[in-house]
Amino acid sequence: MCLMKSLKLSPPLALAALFIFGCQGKPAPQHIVRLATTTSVQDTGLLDILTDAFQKDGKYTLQAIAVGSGQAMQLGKTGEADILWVHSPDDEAQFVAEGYGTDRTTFLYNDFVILGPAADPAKVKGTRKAADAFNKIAAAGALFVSRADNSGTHKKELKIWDAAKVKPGKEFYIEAGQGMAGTLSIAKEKSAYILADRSTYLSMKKNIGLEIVSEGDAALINRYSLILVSPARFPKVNAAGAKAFFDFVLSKPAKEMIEKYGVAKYGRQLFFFDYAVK
Amino acid sequence: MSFIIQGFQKALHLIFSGNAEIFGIARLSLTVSLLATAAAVLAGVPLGSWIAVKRFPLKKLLIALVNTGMGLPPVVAGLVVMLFLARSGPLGFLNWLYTPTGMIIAQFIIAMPIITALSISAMQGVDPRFYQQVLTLGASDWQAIKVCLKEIRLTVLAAVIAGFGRLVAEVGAVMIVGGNIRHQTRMLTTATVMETNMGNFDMAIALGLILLTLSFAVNLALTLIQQKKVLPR
Amino acid sequence: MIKLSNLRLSAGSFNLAVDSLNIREGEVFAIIGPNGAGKTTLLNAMALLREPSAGSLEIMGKDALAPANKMFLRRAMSVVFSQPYLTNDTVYDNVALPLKLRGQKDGAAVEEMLELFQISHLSDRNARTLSQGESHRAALARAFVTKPKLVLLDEPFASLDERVKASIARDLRRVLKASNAAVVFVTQDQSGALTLCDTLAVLVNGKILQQGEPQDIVNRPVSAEVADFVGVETILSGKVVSRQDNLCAVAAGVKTLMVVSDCGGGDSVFVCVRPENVSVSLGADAGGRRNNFKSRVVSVAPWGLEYKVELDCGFTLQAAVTKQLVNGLGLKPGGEVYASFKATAAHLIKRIT
Repeated sequence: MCLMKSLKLSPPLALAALFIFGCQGKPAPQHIVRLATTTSVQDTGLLDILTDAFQKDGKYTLQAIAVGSGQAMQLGKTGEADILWVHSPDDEAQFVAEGYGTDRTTFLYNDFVILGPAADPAKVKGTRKAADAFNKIAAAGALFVSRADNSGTHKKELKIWDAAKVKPGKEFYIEAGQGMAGTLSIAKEKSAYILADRSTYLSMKKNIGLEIVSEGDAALINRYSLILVSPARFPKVNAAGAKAFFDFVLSKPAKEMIEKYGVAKYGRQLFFFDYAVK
Repeated sequence: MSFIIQGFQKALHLIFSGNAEIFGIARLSLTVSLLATAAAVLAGVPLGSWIAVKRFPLKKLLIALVNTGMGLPPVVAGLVVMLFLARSGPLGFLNWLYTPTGMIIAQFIIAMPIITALSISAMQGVDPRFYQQVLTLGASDWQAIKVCLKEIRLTVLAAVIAGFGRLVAEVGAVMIVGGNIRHQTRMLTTATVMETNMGNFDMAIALGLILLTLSFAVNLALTLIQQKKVLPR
Repeated sequence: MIKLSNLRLSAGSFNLAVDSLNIREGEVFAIIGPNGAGKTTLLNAMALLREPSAGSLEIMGKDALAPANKMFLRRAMSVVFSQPYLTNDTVYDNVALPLKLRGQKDGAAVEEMLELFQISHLSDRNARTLSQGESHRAALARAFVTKPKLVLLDEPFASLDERVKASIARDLRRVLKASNAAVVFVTQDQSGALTLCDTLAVLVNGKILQQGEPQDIVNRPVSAEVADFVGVETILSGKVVSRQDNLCAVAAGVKTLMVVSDCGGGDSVFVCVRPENVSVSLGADAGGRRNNFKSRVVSVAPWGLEYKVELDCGFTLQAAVTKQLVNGLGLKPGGEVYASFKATAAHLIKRIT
């Protein structure tokens, strides 16, 4: 009661409220396209060049929120994002099946690699199949660091453990709960094995002293998809803007940008575009 | 070690090459934190002063609550603000999620208890008889609070410095509410986190150094104002 | 100016209970009482700083307990505490503060007050650098700058030394006389109060025991507690044994005292004798005073400008004696003298048994 009285009496407080809630000319929502994507897309720098190209004609402003695939999906499930760019195929299928999104289009891939210390205590080097490599690591009781953050990379890792018929979670299994770079740093310090996406590995290669011990298995392919968040389900979604970005990414100019990306900086192409552009 | 030296070099390079993106990020950092601090001062100082000088039931409980608020983890504040501002949230119609306004609100919520609690203790340091004397001079409650605040302006400025320091270095809330969107809501702290995650440690250190430099400049300015008010003894 | 009735105010275990108090326009009203009697609480209630739990308080014809009147009344009065409580600004700004709070212009009014309290030369000094006496002068100038109709003083200058206090009191009296404001002040210094006030109230344990003209209270206290506080040094318990017209014979211990009073025969009473009403001489001639006792000097001690002589004349009697007389009579412990006082100079308080 007394508190209420004070609130009424307080001109500075009212002023502050006015100030906070009144400022900032907010952009007209129809110009904003909100993309939920994964950190691996942002951390390689690919997102920035695509954003710049997309915004060039001034029609749309892209709000790209780079989070783990799990959280990106969650932003889709609450209608917070207009479009998703994610890499977690099973979850994506379920997402669409449950009616949260439409037009799921797998258009891009890169690959994961299994890294380990140069000494390779589990003798993984030369193993082609990812599941076999994981089996060897587990059998040797060698340390393995997991992102453990519900990201696409984490999901992929769990899938491989599944295929290897090993249940991780003993003392040799370290759950980092961090992004790729943070998890790589832990693996380096612990001389542990780790599953990483190739682009992040390449960008950090000089600092981490871990080597590729297994690569090239089909199971290590990392597929990215675009999903439009369902405007039927979430009326606030900017469907037109989302479609514009969708069409832009699946266009020829975008394809060229993506295929060129990384060559100059890392000496090799990072992402492979496999959608048939018109 | 080499990262730190590289970081220094990079920081100097970024500052002196006039990198527009870095300047934009720094400007946003300063604007958001300064505005949030200003709002928290405008609301927290009068509220804290009022709590200090008035008698009312459950006053001690309220003070304990405010003091607890000082320890509010920024990510919790950020999460709550995000849930409120989300399209599906009660304030979704404002379209403030992933905007500087949203970040200012989150930082305001973090700074408000700090400024309020420090104002309470500063005001409680004023002799209650002094406050009564000012009332008898013909002051309304708020006029009397203003006169008392003038007496303790040094302590209040210290509260402002503490609040700004906390905000400008804060990362959890602005990351969640702002989303670290390039050219829109990327702040020095969130950019530092991102660069660290990308393994660009030299860039991260450069950003950290720029943050420290800015923070130092603001604190120096505030401290100069504060110390100017100190009476020659 | 102030009408107060059935006022009740509790602060912790202390209870203030004032049944009636009436302060007239332009009058100087003193409230005296020992430490902890509730003087400041009562003054705070009049200053609208403490809300009474019951009763009515009317100031300048308005209900002072109605929140709507609070600001108006606060701005019509001034309060001076025992500490000056100046702000960390110049003396000028301090004195101008009440005007600024009212949105009035300062300037001439401030200069006038600085002049009246003789601190014009300190105008630009920071108030925190003033001496104690100068601080009090600044506080008084600040209190009077708004030309208040009512001034409340809470133990003013209690912390000052006598010389400074006297000089400030002189200026205050001059300003008060010119201003025609009603003044209420509380103090435990009864001698100071007596010389200043038109009306005196004695507050003990949260209750007003007596109010009226100061001479009346000093000479005819209604209870032993009041008597004790207003400087009656000799209080004897006794019994009226006979009465002729107004003249009562009171048996107190082994002696019988003659006192003019309207007490009835058989009443249990206290006999009050103020020290300044007792004459001391070497000879037995009492010069017509009805009470005259051969006494032995017990002690002689300085008492303000005079000496206080404790006499044993079958009961203990305190007398105030000038320095000249102490020397002239050669008073010293063990000496023999005669102590006398008039029947009208003593006062009887009926004892409720």
